[in-house]
Order: sequence, then C-alpha cells, then structure tokens
Amino acid sequence: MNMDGATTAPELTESEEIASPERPLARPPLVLNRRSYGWITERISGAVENRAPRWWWVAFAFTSGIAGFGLFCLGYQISTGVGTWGLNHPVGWAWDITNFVFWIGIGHAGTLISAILYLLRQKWRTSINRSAEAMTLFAVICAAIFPGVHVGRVWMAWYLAPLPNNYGIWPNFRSPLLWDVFAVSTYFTVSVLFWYTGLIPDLATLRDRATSKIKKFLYGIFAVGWRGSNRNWRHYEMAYLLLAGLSTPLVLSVHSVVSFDFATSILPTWHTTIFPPYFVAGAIFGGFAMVLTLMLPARALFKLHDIITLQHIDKMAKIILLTGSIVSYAYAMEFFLAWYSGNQYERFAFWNRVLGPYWWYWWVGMLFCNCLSPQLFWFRWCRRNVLVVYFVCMCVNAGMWFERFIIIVGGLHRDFLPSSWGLFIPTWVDIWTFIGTHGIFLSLFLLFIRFLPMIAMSEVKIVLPESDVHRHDPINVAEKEHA
Amino acid sequence: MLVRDYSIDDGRYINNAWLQEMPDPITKLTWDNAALMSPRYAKTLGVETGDLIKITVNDVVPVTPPPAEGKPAPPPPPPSMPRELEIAVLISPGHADNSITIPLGYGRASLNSVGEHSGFNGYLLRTASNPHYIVADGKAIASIAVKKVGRKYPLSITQDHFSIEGRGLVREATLEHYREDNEFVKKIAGDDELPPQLPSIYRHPPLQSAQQWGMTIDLNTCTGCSACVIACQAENNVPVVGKLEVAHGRAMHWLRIDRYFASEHGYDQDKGELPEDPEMVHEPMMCQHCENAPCETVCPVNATIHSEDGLNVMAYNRCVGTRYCANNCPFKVRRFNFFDYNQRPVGKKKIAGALNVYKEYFAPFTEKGAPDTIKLSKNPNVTVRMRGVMEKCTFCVQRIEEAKIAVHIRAGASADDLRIPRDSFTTACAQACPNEAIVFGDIRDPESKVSKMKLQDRNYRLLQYLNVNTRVSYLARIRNPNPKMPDAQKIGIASPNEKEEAKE
Repeated sequence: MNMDGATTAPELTESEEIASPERPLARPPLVLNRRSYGWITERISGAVENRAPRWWWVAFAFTSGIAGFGLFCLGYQISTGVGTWGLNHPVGWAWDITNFVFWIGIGHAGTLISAILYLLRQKWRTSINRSAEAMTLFAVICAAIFPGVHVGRVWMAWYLAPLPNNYGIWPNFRSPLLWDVFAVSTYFTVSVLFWYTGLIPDLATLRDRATSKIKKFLYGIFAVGWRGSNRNWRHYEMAYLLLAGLSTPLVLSVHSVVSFDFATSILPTWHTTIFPPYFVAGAIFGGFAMVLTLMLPARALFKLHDIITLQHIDKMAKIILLTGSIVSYAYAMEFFLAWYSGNQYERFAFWNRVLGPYWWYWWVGMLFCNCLSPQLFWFRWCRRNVLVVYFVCMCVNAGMWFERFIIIVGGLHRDFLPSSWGLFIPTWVDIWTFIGTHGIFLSLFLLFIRFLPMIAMSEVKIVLPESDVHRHDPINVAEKEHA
Repeated sequence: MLVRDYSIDDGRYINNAWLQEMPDPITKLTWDNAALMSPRYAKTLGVETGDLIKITVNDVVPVTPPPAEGKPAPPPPPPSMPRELEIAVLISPGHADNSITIPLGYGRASLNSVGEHSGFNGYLLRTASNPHYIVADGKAIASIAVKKVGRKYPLSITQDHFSIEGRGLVREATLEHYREDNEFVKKIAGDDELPPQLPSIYRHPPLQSAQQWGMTIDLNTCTGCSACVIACQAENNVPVVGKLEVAHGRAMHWLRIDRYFASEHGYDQDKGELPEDPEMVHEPMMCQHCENAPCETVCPVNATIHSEDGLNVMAYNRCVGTRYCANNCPFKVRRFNFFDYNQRPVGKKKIAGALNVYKEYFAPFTEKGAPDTIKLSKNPNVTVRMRGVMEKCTFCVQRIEEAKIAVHIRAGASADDLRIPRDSFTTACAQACPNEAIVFGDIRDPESKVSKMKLQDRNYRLLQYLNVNTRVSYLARIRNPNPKMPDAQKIGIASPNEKEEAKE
C-alpha cells in the first residue's frame, strides 16, 4: 500500500468507514476522530510547508540569541582558560560535567521510544518517536559540547582518539572517560542513522508535495529515491528493525558508561555499584520529562491533539512514575548502603548531602522534584491534566539537573582530607554556557519542526484501523479500531 | 599586640610573591595581614572573619606644666590625634581572649609591584613608647576602642576547614600512651581491620628498578614552618597565582601544610562552632606516590603513569586537562593550571566590577609574558607548565635523574653497580626542612635513612583502607606534657581514640 498521503486521495479513506458496534472493553484509538491518511499528511506536512507563524520567528530569534551568547561564552572560556568557570581545587568538575550528564540523560528517551518500544510493539510510540529522536540528537549535541570544552587544552583533545602515532602512545583504555568517548559517539552515530532511516518515507512525501525546485531537490536528495514500492518498504522495515535492535543495547549502555565515570572512582558517593541502573532509570526519567516538555507546547501550537492524545500523555506519565520510583529507590539504597557499610567517609558524605552546604539542592532537587512530584501520576486525572503533567515535567527537568550536581559537586567538595574541603560557586560564564546550550537545543528543535515532519506520518498511518489488512474480518472488527 | 609578620617580616619582603602567597602556618592567610582574635572575643565584638573593624587608640594628653611666673604662657601642645586603623578580622582559634594581634609590614601605600594593595598598616598604631604592646594602661595610652565598621574585606585563606573530623589523618599520643601501646598507630582509622587483598583486574606497574623512592614525614619534628613549601616552589617552578585566585581555591603549591585544630569536645564547623582552646597539628601534604594510584587509571590519555622506580609521573605534553585525576586523588594534591599563571601578571585590577571580570582574564587581548626577573627565577631543569595542564609533586624527579646521570657518567662503559650512592641526594623539601622531618630515599635499600624511619613503630600511611599503597608515610607525633600543667589533658588528642569511638 502506498502510504504517501500525497498520492492517496484523502476521500477514499473517509468512504471506507464502517460502523462498528460499541465495545466496552475496546482499546481507545491511537488517533482520535477517525482522521484519515490525507488529514494526517496535510496537518503534519503543513507545519513544514506553510509560512512560519509569527511565534516561530519570535521564538527562534530568542533562542538563537541565547545560543549565540552561549557560543560567545564558550569562545571566551576556550581562549582564556577553564578558570573562567568557578572550578577550583577540590571541585575539578562542576557544571560542565553536570550539564553533560544532564543532556546525555535527556538524550535517552528518544531512542528508548523509537527502539525499545518498537521492539515491544508499543504502537502508541508512533506519534512521538520522531520528535523524541530529534530531541535525542540535539541533546547529545549539547552534551558533547561539555566534555569537549571542559578540558584544559581543547586543541589537544584529539589525544583521546585512538589514532596510531609514531610515539606508540595509545589512550588509556582503563579510563572511563575514554569509554565515554566511545559510548557517546557510537550512540550519536546510531541515533542519527536510526532517525534518518525513519525519515526517508516522510521526506519522500515532502518531496512529492514540494512546490519549489530547491525544496524538491533537497528533499529529493535526502529521500534517496524512495518510491514507496513494495521492495522499498521491505528493505526499509528490515533496516529499521535492525537499527532498533542495534540501538536497544545502546540505550542501556550509554548511561551505564557515563555512570562509570563515577562508579569506578574512589570518592565516597561516587564509588558505588548501583550507579549503572540508577543512571539509566534516571536518564529515561529525565528524558521522558523533556519529551513532554517539548511536545505539549508543540501539540497545542500545531493543533495535534488528535495525534498526540491524552492517552499518549497518560502512558508517558506512567513511565515517568515508574522510572521516578526506581530512582527514588536508588536514592534510598544509597543512604542505606552508606549506613550499612560502616565506613565513616561514606556516612559523612551522605549526611553532608542532606545537611551540608548544598542541603537545599537535595531537599528541593532530589527529594521534592524527583521523588515526590512524580507521585502525582498515581492519579489518573493528574496524568490526563496537561497542566499538572507540565508542572511535574518541569520539576523533573530541574530535579535531574540537581541530582547530577549533587552527585558530582557533592562528592568532590568534601572528600577524604578535611583540609581540602571547599565549595563551588558558579561564575557568569558557567551559568550562561548552560543557558546557551538550552538556546542551542531549542533553536535546533525549532529548525527541526520547521523543516522536517515532526511526527512520523508513515508510521502513524500504519496504526490507523485502515492499515490493517484484516480490518473487514468480523473477528477483527473490534481490534482494528484501536490497535 | 604588634608582631613581625611570619612571611614578610617587618615588611621588607612585601614584594616577594612567593612569601606573599605562602599560607601563614597558623591562619593559612595569604597576601594580607589581619587582626587576629579568638572566637569568643569576636563574638563579643559581633564580627566574623572578613569584617572590617576600626581600632582607635587615644594617647594620654600630656599635662602642660604651669607657666613660670612673669612669663607668658607657652603655646598649648598640639592636640593629640587619636591613632586609627581599619583592619579586617580573622578569627584564629587558640588566640588569647580580649586581645588582638596585628602582624606588621603590610598596607604600604607607595608600592607599584607585588605588594600593592596588600594588607593593613599596623605601624599606624605603633609609637616609640609602645612598640610591641598597645595596652590602655593610663600611662601613655588613655583608651582603645574597637568598633565594627560594617563592611567586608576579602581575605584569601587556603584552608577553611579546621576540624580533622575524627579521621585519623594526624596520629598522635602522649608518651605515656605510647609506652603502654607502642603499636597505637596501627589501631587508628580502621588500619587494624583492613579488607583482604583481592586479586586485581589490572596489570600493575612492575616496579623493577633497583632503587625505589619513598619518603617519611616525622610529625614529631614538623613545626609547620613552611620552608618546604617555598623550597618546593623555587625548585619546581610553581607559579604564583595571586590573591584572587587563591580566594578561588586555585593555589598551585605542590606541597602544602595542612593545619587542623583538635579540641577535646569536638565541634561542628558547619554550625559555626569554633574550638576555643584547641591543640594545633600540622601535616605536610604532597603527592603520596601511591603504588596503586587512583589518578593513573582514570586519565584517558595516559598522561599520568608510573615509573619503574615507583614515581607517579606526569607527562605534561600529553595532558589535556580533564582534571579527572585530581578528582580521583584522595589527597587532593594535584594542581591544575586554570589560567596561564606563568604567563600573566598576578592579577588584581578590576575593569568591570559588576561582572567580576579582571583585566588579565581576556586572554587573547591581554599582554602575555613574565618579566625577566621572573623568568630568571625558574629552575632550568624543570618544565614550566602551561595552562590547562595538571601538575603535582614529582619527588623532585629532576634531582633523581641528575644523580642517575652522574652515576652513569662515573661508571662509563663499565658495568658497575649503577645505583645512586645511599642518601647522596634528597628532594628540595627535605633539604630545606630545618628539623629534618622529611626524609627521602631508596626504600629498597634496608640501610637507607628512609627505610630505617619506615621501620619505626610510629610509621603509618594515610587512607590505607583505599588500598592505594602510598610511598609517603608519616611518623606519629608523641607528646610528653607535664601532667601538672593545666592543659595537659588537651595534649595528644588529634587522633581519634578508643574512648571517643566508644562514646559514639
């Protein structure tokens, strides 16, 4: 079947509508109001093809201004020295690595939605996977900035690459920082491929609908000759499945490797074996919150309520509740193990987390934002109230940043020798570099929704009842309505 | 009380940046002097460290003799001006109550160099009749007033935390306790219940050389004088960073002296509690040259590695400055060059106050380079490190290599014993120590001084439970207080003892 809305008459699907008996146990449909292929194509392509709304220009000017200032801060920092940040002798990493872990964590939801939920046949993912994957890529770009520029000699950062050289010096393969380089770059590469593969049918749709030569040429180039033939689909489905299989372990491995930066160190609060699952759960937790943070406004602005339904929001809220509870359990375990270890350094470090100089980071960030606020999602009306969901998502976004700060700076600022204890105070460069990455992230996202279909049209069409070849079979009449 | 300053004396060394940046052994203050006072006295004045106070000294007005008969009255003597000084407060536990100590030599107005804008001029309070003590005795001085000004003054202090937190880093005992139990150092900080050695998944450095370097530091004889700090700075081209950078916690000293205040009762500094009458202990701290070094495994570029003679060495050219090694160092002895400290003048002048931007901070637009005097002060045998590079104590590797080369030259082509003669050289810190508290040498040679020191029962290593196997070890401090002295009970309490543990 040709899934390109452009070549399928929208009326055809409307006429195929059949009456179905009311079934109380029927699953709610994933696309509301019996929207047709044509409607979906029009609505989603329209966001790309129509003139940019005024709010888009205002928003883009604002975010790119922030991004520009963030880049200025990076330039200043690189040219002048890492000392422009507030780092000092006990605290060798602070906002830089906090921001890195924060952004990398956000980058997890996209691949989870597109790969793991795909393999698990969770069809509701189709409405959100495209923008979640785009968000992943942009978040990984923002994340990659920090380890790149936080080093003292940026121009020597290529020493981390395993390049053969005449000195015979290799990177240190025992260093988790090096594993990070491999893990993040692999993750980024596979995520780009996965995202791009999924885009091909939709790019072809845009190519076919393009009104100007330049657009036709560019979308045509990237659609790599897609014709929607049976053969095309066969290869596409297989490639997509393989990439989903490849990406799945990466979802788990990347943040595990990031957590090794801490877990393999010897500092109290860093040196702990529960970090890999704890970090992965936290990453998915924060990632879903960020997906909702971006999707809820986009849904309202582009009137996508029929495609991104309350059912989708409800499901994502459940994942936030689940991962948030895993994270809360991990926090509690950390305290228990510190006590159980009987090690005075561990015990002190956790008391210090709660009562030390950064106490409110823990009470507000970890306890309120990460542990308590998602508990609202036990209630169905909270999961289906967009404002409540947005509030919790903002809490989680902030809370996950605080969590990383507490782990990194909390571990560093008071370790073994009390003589070296210190504090970290951010400078304006720290703050604006971080805000600047938000500018970069949002600018890229705005460009994405302007130039690429923000929802996977072809995949959403696959979950419509009309796509089910057995939809006229009386036994399947009910199922095709919803599945 | 007016005293000569510990580092710049009566002010004669005010332009010596090494001495300006040397932390005072007791207060750990750099680049300034301050009005030192006890915590209790500070509380009565309602001031904290960094608050400015104004000290006003009113002299006794000399009584004019009655005019002689028939002569016109002499002109009245000029009214005596009260002498005033505004100075920052620094609370110093252990200071006598109701008194203030002001080190002299600072606050000179007409300087255009290193000492510019440093400290407060205590000479303003000093007169020939009261050179050392200013006491309102009614003879020369009528009254002294100390008033809070209400403004703050930034002081750069290298160590803010006084309490040792019961961690057994400095171990000491009274002679009595030591005679009862001369193995007491082995029973502190869990050293008697170390976990078993598990097989390692990493290949460890082979340590094959005939000579293996190690060090001991005798806390019994160390007075915290800090001569080693300056010796190390001079030997190893350690840059001066300036007052502002010290305040940011970026002093570069490879060797520092940790100072702790131990109190009978314990105190929680986070709650603002300060010990009133503490005992003070010093502990020189530099790279411990762990055989199982945590810094080495985490460096992604192999910039810090182990030499075959047991040194933890840095390849500066290879370092990209991730600072991971410093984070993973349990002793926090690694020093990161945050700016080009060897290339920029010691920074003080602000150009945009609100933004906290300093003149030297716009690297591409700022003049670089050091004056010839600074360049000539560098040791030509030691690399001058650039910005963005981690650095730390090398056990004076240049001296080791120099000694090795000399032995090789003497041996020529013959295959003689190529070992450096026993105790024929030492590190800069050990050389400078007036009490020979620091001993450096070959720990594989049982006859070397350092091996003999390590055999003493006072010998202990820090953070043994981490299994880092440090090459530096410390010799516990043994005190012999006169039991009749009132504070005899307070001596020898820095290390956590069984009594305190039982209380917990």
